[in-house]
Formats: sequence, structure tokens, C-alpha cells
Amino acid sequence: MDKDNQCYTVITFAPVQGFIEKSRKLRDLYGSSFLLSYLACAICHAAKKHDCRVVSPALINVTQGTPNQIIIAGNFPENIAEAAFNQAWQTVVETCQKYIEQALNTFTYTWQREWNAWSNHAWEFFWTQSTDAELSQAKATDITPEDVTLMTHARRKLNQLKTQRNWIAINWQGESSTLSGTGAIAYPRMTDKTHPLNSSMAEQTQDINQFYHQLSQHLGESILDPSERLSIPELIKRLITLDAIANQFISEKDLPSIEIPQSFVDLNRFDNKLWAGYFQGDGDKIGDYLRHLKEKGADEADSLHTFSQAMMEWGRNLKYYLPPTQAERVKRRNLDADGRIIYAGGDDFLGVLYRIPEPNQPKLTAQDCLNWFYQFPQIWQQHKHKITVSVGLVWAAPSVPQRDVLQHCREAEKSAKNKGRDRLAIRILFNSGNYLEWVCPWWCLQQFLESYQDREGDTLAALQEKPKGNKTTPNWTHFYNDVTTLESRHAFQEQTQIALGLFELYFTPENRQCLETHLWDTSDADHQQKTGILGNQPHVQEKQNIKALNNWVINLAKVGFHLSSSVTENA
Amino acid sequence: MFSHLIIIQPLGFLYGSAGPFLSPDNLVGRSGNSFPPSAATVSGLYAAKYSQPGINKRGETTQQLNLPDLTLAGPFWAYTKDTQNFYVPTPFNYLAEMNPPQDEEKIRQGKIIEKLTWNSETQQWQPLKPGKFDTETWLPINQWEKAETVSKAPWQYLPHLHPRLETEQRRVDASSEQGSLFLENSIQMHPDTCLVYLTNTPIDDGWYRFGGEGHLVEVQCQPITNETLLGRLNQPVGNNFALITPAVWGSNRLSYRFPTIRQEQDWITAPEWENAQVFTERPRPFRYRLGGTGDTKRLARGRYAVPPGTVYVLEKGIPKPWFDWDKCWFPDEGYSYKRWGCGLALPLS
Repeated sequence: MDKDNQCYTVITFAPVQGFIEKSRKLRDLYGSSFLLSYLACAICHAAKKHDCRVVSPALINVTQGTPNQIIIAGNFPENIAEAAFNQAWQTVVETCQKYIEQALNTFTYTWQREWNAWSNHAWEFFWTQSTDAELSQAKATDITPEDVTLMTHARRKLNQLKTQRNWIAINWQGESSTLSGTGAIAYPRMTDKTHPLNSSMAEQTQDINQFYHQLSQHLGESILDPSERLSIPELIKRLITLDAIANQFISEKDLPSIEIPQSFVDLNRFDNKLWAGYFQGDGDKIGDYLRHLKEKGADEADSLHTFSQAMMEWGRNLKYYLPPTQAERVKRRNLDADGRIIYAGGDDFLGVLYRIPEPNQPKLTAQDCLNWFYQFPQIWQQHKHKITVSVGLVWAAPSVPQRDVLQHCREAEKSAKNKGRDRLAIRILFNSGNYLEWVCPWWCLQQFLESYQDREGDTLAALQEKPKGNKTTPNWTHFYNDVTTLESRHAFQEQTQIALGLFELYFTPENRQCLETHLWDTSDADHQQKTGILGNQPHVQEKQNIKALNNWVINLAKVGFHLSSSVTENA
Repeated sequence: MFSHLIIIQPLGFLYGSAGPFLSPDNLVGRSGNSFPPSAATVSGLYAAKYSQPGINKRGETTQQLNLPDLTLAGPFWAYTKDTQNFYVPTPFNYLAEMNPPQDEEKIRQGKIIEKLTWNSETQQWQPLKPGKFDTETWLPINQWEKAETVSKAPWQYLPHLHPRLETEQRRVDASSEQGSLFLENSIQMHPDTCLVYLTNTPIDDGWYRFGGEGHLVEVQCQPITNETLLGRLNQPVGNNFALITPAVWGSNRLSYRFPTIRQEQDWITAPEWENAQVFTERPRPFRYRLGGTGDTKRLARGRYAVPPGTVYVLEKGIPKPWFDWDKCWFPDEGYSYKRWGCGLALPLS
């Protein structure tokens, strides 16, 4: 391309986070993640057809990934982009509508208008571009600093555009979808004119019940519970994971491959009383990292492309690293992976660890999750870019609704970020909705947790080598009881001696020393930066620092207790 | 014109559920919760006090609320000691940063570090300030002209397990397949704070049921004595203003970001609002129950609101204060949405 006449086009669409969040089942998550990448993919393909180079996302044939910004080198006109996007979405909508109408052909369908509304107003679409000439002009008028590159300029323009939003929302009548609490319940006669004064609620309810009963019978209860009342987009998310529908999209050339849902075993945490580990994370300070590459002289578009490619490949492979290890799975044949990656596209990912109970298989424990997360930094490093990662892990009780678990996931990830990044935040989420949280940098996570020694002198390593009767793990109750007793007596106030003393007692003097020297970010002898256990830098007030340390030890006791005890497994 | 403040202090917990303030289906869960309750919820207080038995069009006896001019606006909140200086949502073009956490007991404070203004030549909000800022902050109304500090909301969610009662009897429903307990997220307000709404019709002080499940609140009605506030509410909004309440606009079928009016078969943007610039966020559901003869009130159409904090920059400007805005901009469904204070806007300097 002619250097003097460069142009970048940046495209995004919304909502992304909100679209994923409105999920009750794992299937919803998976469906929404698929849809988002399918739509992004449609834009990328159109751009390629138009002889433009897609800078990011680098790989477009990846299902799992929700690239929220599509960066294209070259002039990719808005009308072509938008048309491609709309067509992709409309095909999905139409396919789902037709599927239902054909599957349940005894109903009279007058709902076309509502499906049209969804096919036209489901998304906000944003498009902008910037040229060299425009950038020079912006720089000349002092609007834009000198060091801003063309691509950054285009991305900033897009962010500006996004402040406007661009939604048209679809109103609804009658009771709302039971999944999200907003939006009309989809049923064949949903657009029939009703007047609140003379319409019969009972009749309408009966219509809805009948439709959902039949739809649930057709799809199977694991896909649609007969008590659910979904809106059109929520139905689409469910249906898109069906073989019959997904195949229509897979068979089209060049479209992302979706995992064949036949193998899609649903997770029913509630009935099986299963605890599950949800995790969400993303790379730390990606922007800074890319800037750093640029300062070293790399071409911005090239380095972003390489980076995007590395991250997407990593994301694509993440599912192969789920526990148990490949070797373990080969050893015990037909062993499924303990979980599922919902999306892992750019530098961000969301997944869930669970195990469908089988007679000869033990339930998945929190310890199993922890064991996997001990390895996680190595898995993360496979993309070979020098950035760290922050993850929130929520060990969730069976009755907490998935929507809430997801919210906790996001909050846990935020905790990890706020506490200084490059670490894992562990949340134990109880049925009551209460939770405990402990945040620890990756480098000392395993070191600390595995060094725990109870009052009888037992450690995990020793017990695994030589169990004492039924006792295979050290007794965390000792540490837990001490902490709660002391806490109730207000022992942890205005000093850290008690917290440190306890830590030394249960986690060896060496670890206490390690804790004390690494409270905040430090550099050791080899100028290796070490992430601080409590965060990047001390608070301004000493009082705050004391509190931070005390809370860290207290939370370690509580979270550690629940991670190790069998209480959470059987509760 | 707004003349009074309705001060609501919870006696215990309040509930914040998804969608409508209280719906049996959505009493659980933290996601999509809507707290504080909308102005429409507050009008329920009036129903308790002012409704009289009457007869509707179909000849059925009903409780009728005969307050045609009632106008409410909110939600806002305030420190109980300083209710006249209540907090409103911070305009989205003000970039705020929270202070580091201090005492856990205190409501978190922050400061405004930048105010973006719209540059019509470059079609940009300026200055360009990359970075992440704190959202969902509140601004004291006395600082509207000169905004410096902001505050986080003074409430938190308290999850707890709640027994599921049988519909007809006051005992725990043990037969149900779904279990006899459900998770509920109640709201605990900071004890020094209260909810505040604006009204043009005073209501008697007292204890009222509010927010379902027999939860009580103490309601006080105070005349607005804050002269600058009164002045500001009376000031024409001009061409640069921000919403302090949700705004519901559009036809019966679709909600929009701008007021729309009917032109033959189509709905078009109201002329004053054409080519307007807006700084806004995702839409928020807006719905209420009111009217009808049964115990369960009739459910209004589900609509979407432009969130409070939204900033508009108009080409021409509106030479009227909100109270005198054209009624045809507001959807009408039994009541005009102006009754719920939708889109209450204050001019920005």
C-alpha cells in the first residue's frame, strides 16, 4: 500500500458483554460466544473480499473469541461492512425462525413483525476510519498529540463514536422473559393486538404454556426447560447450538466451525448438587505492551497482527489444556476434559471447570481446580508474549444462578486487577449468595498453599505419600479456628504481629520471610521484578497497609479452609 | 413545577430486583437489578393515600387515583442531614476517579478530573483523555455548576436466603420442586442516607409500605428551599444539557435515544433534537405496574430508557425548562411518561 495514502478502518458492534451475560445455561454462554464471533467473522470476510488486510483479529476461523474491535488496513466502506454484518445476522434470525415454524407446524404463526424487529434492531454497529491526511491535520490543529499513530487515531475515533451509542430498543407487552427479566416472551401469537382492558390474560398464558411445552418436548428438556419463557434473542442463542441449525452455518464455506453439540453435555449444577469453578481472565496492560513494541521500532500493524495471532492461537488451544492433563486422559480412556472454554479469543477468556458425575469417578473438587491453576501461568506463557495475566476464579455453589456467578466472575477478575495484576483471585461463592475472597500472585500461590502444616505436623505432600488412615489432606480447621477466634476478639488491630505470627506457625518461617520481603512489588538480586503479594505499592496511610496484610491472612484462612475441606464438596 | 422533596428512609432493608422493582420471577439474582426504585414506584405511595373508590369505563368498581397533574422525578439520594443538597447521576462527559478506599464505613468519594466538551468542528469530545474512569458516580446538586467531587452510591447488596411461602398461606412452601428457599438480594442503605424524589404534589409524612414484602419506609415531604435548585429547574435547558433521570422516548413499539413525534405513519425525531450529539450508555429497561382492578396491578408496556447522566448537545437548543417541554415528546400510555419525570434535564454550562 502507498505509505502516503494509508488508511485504517475500525469496526465494532454492541452489545457484547450484555449479550453474553444474559445467560442461564452454559449453552447460552456458548451460543452467544459463537454468535459474536460469527458476526465478527462475517465482517472480516467481507473486508478480505474487498482486498483489505484484516490486522486484528488475526485468525478469523476461530469460534471461541469475541474480538470487540476489528481493525482493517485499507479503505473498507461502511455500507459494505454494515451490509455484510446485517446479512449474517439476518440469516441467523431467519434460520432460527424457520426452524421453529417447521418443527412445530401445528401452530399458527403471526409473529413475523417481532422477528423482523429483532433482525433489524438487535445490534449497534460502529464504523470509522482515518487517513494520513486527516491525522496530519488533527496534529496540526493540536487536537492530537504528535506521537499518535494512524491506527491509534482511528481507534480513538471509534471510541468517540461509541459514546453516542446507536441503539433502537424493542418494547414489549405482557410478562417478560424469565431469563433476563426484560423482553417479550416469544410465542406464535405474540404480535396479536391485545388491549389490556379486554384481552384475556389466562388465554394468553395458556397459549404460551402450550408453545413452550411443545418446544421443550421437541428440543429436549436439557436444551429448553418447559418452565422457561424466552425472548427471541434468547431463543436464538439456544437454537444456534443445535446440530440442525449449527450445521447450516458450518457447511457454508469459510465460516467458523462450531463444536458439534452432540457432545455437548449440559451442566446441571442444581440437580446434581455440583460445585463448579468458573474463571474469567485477561492479559495485563496489553496497550502498554503494544506501545512498548512500537517504541522498539516494530510496525504497529504488524506487531498487533502478530500479537493477535498469538493470542488467538493460544485461545484456540486452551481447551486442550483443561484438566486432567492429556496424558492422564489417555491413560484412563474416554475421560472427558473437566470443563469447557466458553470463549478465549483475544487476550480474554472465560471458562468453567466441572465434571459430570459418573459412578466410578469422584466429583471435581476445589483442589482439582487449584492444581490446574498452579499450572496456569505456564499455559498462559505458550503464546510467548511477555505479558502477565489476571484471573478471577469463582468456586460456585450449585444453587447460585449462572447469571450471578458470571457477575461474580467479572468482579473477581477486577479484584485481581485492582490488587496489582499478575495474580489469581479466588472466590468461594455460597448458595446464600455470600462469598469469601482471597487474592494471591501466581508465583507464590502453590508455594504458600502447599506449605500448610496443621497442628499435628501434617502437610499435603507428606499425607499424599503416606496417608494417616482417612486423612489425606492437612487439617485447615486449625488455622481457620485460630483466625476466627482471634478475629472475634479483635486481635488483628493496628499491628501485624499476630497475623504474621500465625502465618509463620502454619506456613513455615521461610514463607513468613518471603511474605514480609514481598509485600509490595520488589526487584531481587537479578533485577527480576517480583509481583508484590498485597499489590504494587504501599498505601499512603500505614493504617491501610496493616489492614491489607491482616485481611490477606484472614482471607487466606477462610478461603483455604473451604478449598481444602470436604464441606464444600458435600454441602 | 416541582415544589417538594419526598424523603424516603428505609426501615430495614429494601429490595432491588431485576426488571420491575419487584417481580416474583426476578426476586433473585444480582444481575440486572434495578435500584433505586423509579419514580413510578413512588407513585404507589400516593395510591395508598389518595385513591378513592370509583367506577371504570367497563362499570367495575376500582380504586382510582385522582391526581391528573401529579409529576414525580427521581431517583436521587441524599445525606439525611442535608436533603436539599441531594445527589444526582454525574453527567457522562465528566470523567471521575475515585479516591483510594479509606474507612469501610464511609461512602466512597472521588473527584472529577476532566470535563469533556463537544467540539463541533472536529466532531469530537475534547480533550481526548485515554484511560479508564470510574462510572456510576453521583454528583451533589449544589455542585452542578461547578462540579468537583463525586460520590459512589450509598447502598449495598446483601444476599440472604429467604423462605418461599405458599401463595395462599403464611407458611413455607415445602412441596415445591424448586426448593423451599430462594436467594434474595436485598439492599441496605447507608444509615446516614435516604432516597430523594421530586414532586409537585405534597404527600403526608408517615410510614408506608414500599418495595414489596411488607417492607416499611419512613416518608417525609419537605418543601424545596434550595433557591439555586429551584432556579436551575426553572432555567431553560438551552443546547447543552444532561439528564438526571431516565428518559423514555419513542413509539409504542420502539424506544429511541431522542424524543420522537408522529408524522403520519412514521415516527421521526422531534425537530429541536435533529442532528443532536449525545453522550450516553446502554439502554435500561423501564417498566411499572399501575392501574387495573385486581390485587396485582396492570403491567405497563416494557420500554427502554436513556440512562440518567446522558449529555445532549443540540444545534438549536430548547428555550424552555424541562417542565414546559412539549408533551408530545413523551410516550403516553394511560399516563404521560412526563408524569414519572422522564428525561428531567438540567442545563450544563
